[in-house]
Amino acid sequence: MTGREASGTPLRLATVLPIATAIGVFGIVYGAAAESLLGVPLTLLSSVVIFSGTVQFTMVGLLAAGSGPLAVLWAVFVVNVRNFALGGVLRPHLRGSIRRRSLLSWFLIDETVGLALASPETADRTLLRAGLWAYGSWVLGTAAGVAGGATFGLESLAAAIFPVLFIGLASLMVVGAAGVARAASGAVVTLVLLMVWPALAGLAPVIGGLVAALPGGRR
Amino acid sequence: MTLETLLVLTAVLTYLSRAAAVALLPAARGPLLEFVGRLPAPLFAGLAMFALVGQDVAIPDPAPLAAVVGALAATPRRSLGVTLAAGLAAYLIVELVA
Repeated sequence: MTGREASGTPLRLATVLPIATAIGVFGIVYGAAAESLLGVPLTLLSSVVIFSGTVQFTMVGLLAAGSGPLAVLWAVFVVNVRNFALGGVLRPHLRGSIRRRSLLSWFLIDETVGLALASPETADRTLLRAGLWAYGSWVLGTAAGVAGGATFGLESLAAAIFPVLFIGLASLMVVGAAGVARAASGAVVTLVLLMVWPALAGLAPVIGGLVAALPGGRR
Repeated sequence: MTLETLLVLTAVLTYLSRAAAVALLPAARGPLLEFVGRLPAPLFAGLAMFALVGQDVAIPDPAPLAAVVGALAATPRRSLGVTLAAGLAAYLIVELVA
């Protein structure tokens, strides 16, 4: 049984709204941080054409530190490796032609993949709906950030929403005691990896998840 | 390389990795499908840990930590809405008290 079949939470506005708001707050932070480096037009363009907080913060952080374009592109490539894990999990649940899946893949981010897997609606529809919310929030947040928008201390609340969201998604995917143990293992391995090799950054949870999902024990 | 070119290449790399994962590569089958089926829970648990402690493994502030504890306490309900509500409530309580 897959996690999606085991769960039963439809995608409701009450669920997607806090997530979209948190993404918007981080969009504001990104817009404010990137504007001085990229300028207003390119900052807005980056959120419109990239739509990945992880990638964009990595890019701006490296540019601000004086890294060259090749170093930035290498980092972007490494960060994007996680998309293969997310896409691999979601792929069996997606229907339709290659063209349709190619279009939907635009919305492949951690949050939308989790919601698509957790919702009893079709993964395609959930990915599209949640993705539109997330994309709109990210672009609007960036625009607010470059316009000098303030988050009024909401960064802390926004930062708290993401671990809560991922805990909720993990709990929906867990099947049985072995599943709980695997989830806990994924979190612990991620923590150890980050402590030993912080440069792994966003790859650490992917590696932690892969290690914890290896065959062995009972599902 | 101009900033414009860098942005475009970054966008292309990001999109290609997404499209390859869900549109170009074949869907998992057999043992690989079983493995992929086991992946979401530990992957999202790992993402939760990463979102909580960050790249530098910083000790979280009390309010986000309370949000995580509240969310964990709500997980037996297996409801995303309840987990989010519990996490936010715990966050707000600690913020108000602190």
